[in-house]
Amino acid sequence: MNHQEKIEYALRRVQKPARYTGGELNSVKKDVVRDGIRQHIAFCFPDLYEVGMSHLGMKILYSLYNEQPDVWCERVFMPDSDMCEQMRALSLPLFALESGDPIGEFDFVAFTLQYEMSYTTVLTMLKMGNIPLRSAERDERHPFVIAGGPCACNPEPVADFIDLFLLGEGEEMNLELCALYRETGRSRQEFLRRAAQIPGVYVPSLYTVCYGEDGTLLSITPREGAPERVEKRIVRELDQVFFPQKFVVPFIGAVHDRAMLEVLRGCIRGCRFCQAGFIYRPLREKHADTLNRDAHALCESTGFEEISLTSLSTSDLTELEPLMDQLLSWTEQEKVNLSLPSLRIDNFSPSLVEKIARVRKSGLTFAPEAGTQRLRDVINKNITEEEIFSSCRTAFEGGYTAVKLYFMIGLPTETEEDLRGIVDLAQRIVDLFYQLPGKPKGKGVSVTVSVSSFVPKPFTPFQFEPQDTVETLRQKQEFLRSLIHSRKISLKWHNADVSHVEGILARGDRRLSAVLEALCERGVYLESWEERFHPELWEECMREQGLSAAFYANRRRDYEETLPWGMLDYGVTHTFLVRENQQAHRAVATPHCRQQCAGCGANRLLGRACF
Amino acid sequence: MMMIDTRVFYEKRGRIRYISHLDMNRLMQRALARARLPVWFTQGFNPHLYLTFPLPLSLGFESRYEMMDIRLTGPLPAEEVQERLNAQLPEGLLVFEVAPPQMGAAQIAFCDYEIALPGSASAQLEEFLNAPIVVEKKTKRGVSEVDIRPHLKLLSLREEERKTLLSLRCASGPVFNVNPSLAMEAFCKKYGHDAPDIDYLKTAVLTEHGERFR
Repeated sequence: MNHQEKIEYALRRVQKPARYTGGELNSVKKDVVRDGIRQHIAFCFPDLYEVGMSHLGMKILYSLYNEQPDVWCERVFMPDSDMCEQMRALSLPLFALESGDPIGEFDFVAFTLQYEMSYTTVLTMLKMGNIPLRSAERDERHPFVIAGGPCACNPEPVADFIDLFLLGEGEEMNLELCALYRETGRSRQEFLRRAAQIPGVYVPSLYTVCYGEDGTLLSITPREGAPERVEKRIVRELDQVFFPQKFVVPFIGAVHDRAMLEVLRGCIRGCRFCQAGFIYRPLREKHADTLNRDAHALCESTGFEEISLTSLSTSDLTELEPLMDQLLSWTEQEKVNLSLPSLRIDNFSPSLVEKIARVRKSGLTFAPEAGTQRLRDVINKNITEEEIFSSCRTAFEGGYTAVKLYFMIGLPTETEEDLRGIVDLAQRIVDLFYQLPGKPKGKGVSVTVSVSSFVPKPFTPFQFEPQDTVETLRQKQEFLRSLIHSRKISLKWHNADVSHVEGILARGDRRLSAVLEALCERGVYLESWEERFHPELWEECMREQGLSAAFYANRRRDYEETLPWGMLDYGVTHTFLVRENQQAHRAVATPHCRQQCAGCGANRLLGRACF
Repeated sequence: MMMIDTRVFYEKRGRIRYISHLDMNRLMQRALARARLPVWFTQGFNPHLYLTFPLPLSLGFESRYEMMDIRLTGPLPAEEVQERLNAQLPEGLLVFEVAPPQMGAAQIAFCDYEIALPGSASAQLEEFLNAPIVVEKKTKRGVSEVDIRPHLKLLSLREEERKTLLSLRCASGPVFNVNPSLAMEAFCKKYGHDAPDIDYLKTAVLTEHGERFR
């Protein structure tokens, strides 16, 4: 069988074969010879098709790359286990969807690192592509393996596998990298050495790390002219940034199968646990006219029946109400639904509720994150109980009957009282519903309490904090369950073992590369799917490498400790993070950016004041 | 509001055969939206585009005779509907006719299939088709054992280019439907062939009297 026949053979024997066929509407086909393709890029999302096809960043970069006449960017997703089995049996290497070509034949293999639990999948995809896992083992015959995305802010656990990381927003940086490749071609050392001079590019092999006896870092030393500190890139004028007018329309239902409109980047809120809230700073917005134009173009080119406004906090968009008015002026006529995730509880105005309700009534989600005001002050989630109740009242009177509440356990300074506060808050929302004269007739209320476990993340004020142990998290989950007495409240929680491993990787260093490699050799992948996550294998592989999970996850860091991501600069300064950490321990909240600048330092990237 | 029942006839060939019925439904909805055809939406709390398929096609099957029914809210020449829709369909889907429906789905009685197996299997097939074919068939009341042989008619059988080609007429319709893969899988099990390697192509949809369903 030849390569194409092998693909065909496999497709006949797997579930959901359309995951692997390509050929979707708006997917881009080029001809390497006829079109003079100089850079063939395999854009890999280390998860299943349905997950990867939901990701906006990939859509943006896919279109951006393919606008370049001599660049062809294709998509690659992790095959499900039945397909992996077929591919192994057929010796069929991992291939890209558009051409079916093996990824080992590309110029670049690019990964987006969206969550820590995808790391073993990244390695498995390289292995399936017959690409040597470690950068040091690759030569001129192999593609460059590059990576970006939020997890690139502490890339060290995967530093041995990735040739270079792109920090921050990729729209400009990726094109600069393409330009460099046109000059150097596959000459590895030259390309990497020169790439390290592009702002935002981190080449891990050009940095030597030394550890002390206690296991912490002694030093990080750049070589061959690589910068001491690599500063992440941002797009200054967001309103003018490239935005695709077409999305690939998946054949099979993606998790988010709709048009997505990125309305702003960054966040003014400064919730102290939230990595996204710091690494995407400073805040930049798009204008209503731009957004409305892009939304219309997308719906016309895809036929999507839903548009989602995405950002970290959509209600912080200055022009949200004018945008809603513009969108509603055609979406109702064209039978397109609008969805607005990420609305803040404290600026959920009645007129906004009315506008959303005009489109569709579904559930309502709030994220108080902590059960008491004291702890909400610690984490800087500036929401008061009064705001929670008044938002719920507005929503109930507007016809909503289902409320979903997001909380976290294991937050710094948490006590039993804070845990009680979670259930107490949910119960009082139930009580509020039944006391309302204007409540929806003939319907009960349902309050879902979803509890995740706090994972300390780099570039947050909590990057110094110890994470709760798995045992403590489990006890807290059980305790919460024992407190619930109403059938109107349902409790869901995250797997504590997963949070623990996320805790190890999030603040991990290069020594974890060996652990990831060992897990990959044991056939571990797609760990983001809980049934494929094996905590006992993690334990085993950590032990084999002589590494302590507690050292990474459950240890408090001194403010002075050299952190594994110490060579990276995401705008927010160390001084600011220390100050915010101290404020947290005093349970003092920090006003949001529009009220008062907290001096985080990110506006340096903008070259001016944020507002 | 005006409602004009419209039947769209199309082919489904090549790799697009790997798209399931459910996904075809969504694909067609989006193609209709992109074509900006004046299609009728169901009324009510959560309006959605009215779209039905008289006879769904199995995943992995190709077809020369597929149909979907929509309603137009204004008169439009059939050729225009066909052209505008074809401009929006991905490779492998091709509308070849648009016309008002002449029959209801209940009148569907048979489908013809061209089936291709790798290798030489005509002698085995003849033997196989000369006996009852008892298979487990899923019904609303659970799984039961049925002899499907009376519901199959062999139209032709031949071998060419290391392939065995047979043409099979199967009882079909919304009420009683015999999928040819039931018979072919039983055949493969009995004679040791690899069922996933079989190609299926639906060539016709017929009424009880053998007329083309339209």
